Amino acid sequence: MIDFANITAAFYQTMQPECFLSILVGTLFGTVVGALPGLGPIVGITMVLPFTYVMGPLSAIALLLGLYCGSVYGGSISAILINTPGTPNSAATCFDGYPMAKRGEAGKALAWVTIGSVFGGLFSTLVLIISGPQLAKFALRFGPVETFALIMLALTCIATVSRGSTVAGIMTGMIGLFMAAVGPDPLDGDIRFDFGFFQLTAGFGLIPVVVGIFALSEVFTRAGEASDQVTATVSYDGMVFPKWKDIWLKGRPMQMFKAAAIGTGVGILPGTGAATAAFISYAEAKRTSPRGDKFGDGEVDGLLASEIANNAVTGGALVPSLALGLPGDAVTAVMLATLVLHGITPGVRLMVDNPIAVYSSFISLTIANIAMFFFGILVAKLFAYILKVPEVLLMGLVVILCLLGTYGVRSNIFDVYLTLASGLLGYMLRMIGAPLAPLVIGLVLGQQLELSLRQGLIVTGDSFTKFFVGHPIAVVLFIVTALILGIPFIKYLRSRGKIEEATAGDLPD
Amino acid sequence: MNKILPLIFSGTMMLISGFLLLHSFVFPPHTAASLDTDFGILFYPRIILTVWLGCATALFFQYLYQKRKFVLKSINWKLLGVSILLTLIVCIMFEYLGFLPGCIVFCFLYPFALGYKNLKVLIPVSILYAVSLWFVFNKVLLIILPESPWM
Repeated sequence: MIDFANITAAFYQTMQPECFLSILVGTLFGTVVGALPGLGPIVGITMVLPFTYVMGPLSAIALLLGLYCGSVYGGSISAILINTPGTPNSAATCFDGYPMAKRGEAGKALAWVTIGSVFGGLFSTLVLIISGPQLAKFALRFGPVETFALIMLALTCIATVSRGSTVAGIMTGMIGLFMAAVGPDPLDGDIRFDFGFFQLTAGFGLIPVVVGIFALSEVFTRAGEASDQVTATVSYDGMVFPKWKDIWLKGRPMQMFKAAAIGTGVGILPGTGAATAAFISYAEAKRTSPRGDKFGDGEVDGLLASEIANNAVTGGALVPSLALGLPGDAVTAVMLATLVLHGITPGVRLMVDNPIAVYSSFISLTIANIAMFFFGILVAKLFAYILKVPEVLLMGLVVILCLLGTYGVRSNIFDVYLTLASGLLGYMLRMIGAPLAPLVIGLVLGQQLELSLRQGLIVTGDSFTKFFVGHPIAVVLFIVTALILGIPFIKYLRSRGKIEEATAGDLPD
Repeated sequence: MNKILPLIFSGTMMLISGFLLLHSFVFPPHTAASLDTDFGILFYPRIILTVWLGCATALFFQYLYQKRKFVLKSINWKLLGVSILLTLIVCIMFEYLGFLPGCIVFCFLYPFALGYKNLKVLIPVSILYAVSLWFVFNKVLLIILPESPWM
């Protein structure tokens, strides 16, 4: 049944000036941040985070949602105009966007990308609106054992699917889970692993760690790669929108829906991200499009496949975040952390306990995707000027906002040092190619994982057998987790077997 | 050199997780409350630490025996070191000198040390940025920033 009362209330609150303005400011700022190579959604969110502390929860989330959508789209502007994706999400956009720009069709490419991004974003928002409440309703059946199994599945997905080695992914996940275990035990409240430091009795703050791991380590990485290279933009005189018949060209509407479905589906899976969605969608479009042979030479279908998919990830990633309280990536983890800062507990009861916040998120996301269309035109026009801001100047300002953002949570200087330490850890993890997302997701979900494990053991009378095989939903989730963990190992063993067979065949008699 | 960095990192991870695991057995925390369960407050962290230790050990040996060269991006260690050092200095300055002086000094020094030498832009930008942030946070958002002993 449609909850009209709460939807109306959410609509009324979202349309209040503070909230509505937050969506617009977030989308505009996100588009700028996304367009600047090196700054991505996480750095952008870090920069606005301190301002959300004094906002209402709906406005804070609206600002972050706008920024999220805008930054994913913004990356395509630099991908087309300077052949450098503003974020890794738009890497596939370069393949066809830059060739179009080089032959003087930058305006056309940007117009297609804008249409595609808005379409992808709105499609995934619709999926979120339809599937989110259903999933949340189903999740209400979850007890502690099911919750434990679900979190295990999410963490396993994130650790194995994220870029880098699986073992490194699991290790970073464990570091995050351990950091969440420092401080008060969720059941008894007893303090552990504080090593006599008063500041550690409350545990590690989520915001300092997230900001350090992602934003500060990104600054260090850019500093270590600093170059004086000046990037030249191609000539651009404003967007040239396609004619109606170009949109309905043979096979194109189907390609657009397919890209949106791929993006949304990939977004729902924890740990995958927009870059993966864009590449999968691009490969699929190349295989099936009637104009697939022109991909790479500036084909509109290629542009659309990449951009629709990466923008569709935004709504998809919010499905598990809002319905189950499971963040799929670092951006949604920060969003859930912001909810916590505002006294809203994410989890399976989020939709039941805070329906207005959830419906308001849906509305904000819809408005942000529409606003993206207009801000895209503006930012693309001003891009040449935006690009003139020297990167080193910008990085210094980002560091200050990172430190302010972490200080502002508890007004505690310890958090500032913790941010720096996390930044160094993040930099080292980047250096060895370990994924960062599992650490943050582990930190977000750690307390809930421990609580559900220990509550589950109390419920089952401390019996591991009952815990692992006594709950049908949990059993299915445990089996899927085991399969995800086991398949790479089986593949490895099979490939070794094949190599040995081949080597044995080569041996002389 | 190619293998040294990942080996040092995974080795450090092994040592940290091993130390924490040992610490949980040698110095168990005093528990004030206790529910009727066999699994105490260190049950879960020990599982986590054991898996962490296992993964770190596996990574260490993986790096030690892998034949494929570990490709490290070319890094400008000097700029990286300066960047980290200046960030540490600004944290210390926030604590002892307050936000405003620390922010002005950092916003000037950071781009300068990383190669941006245009003083005509740098000086006004660092002062304007620090003062506007201080004003927005202290006066508009009412988030009190670290105070300077001289103000």
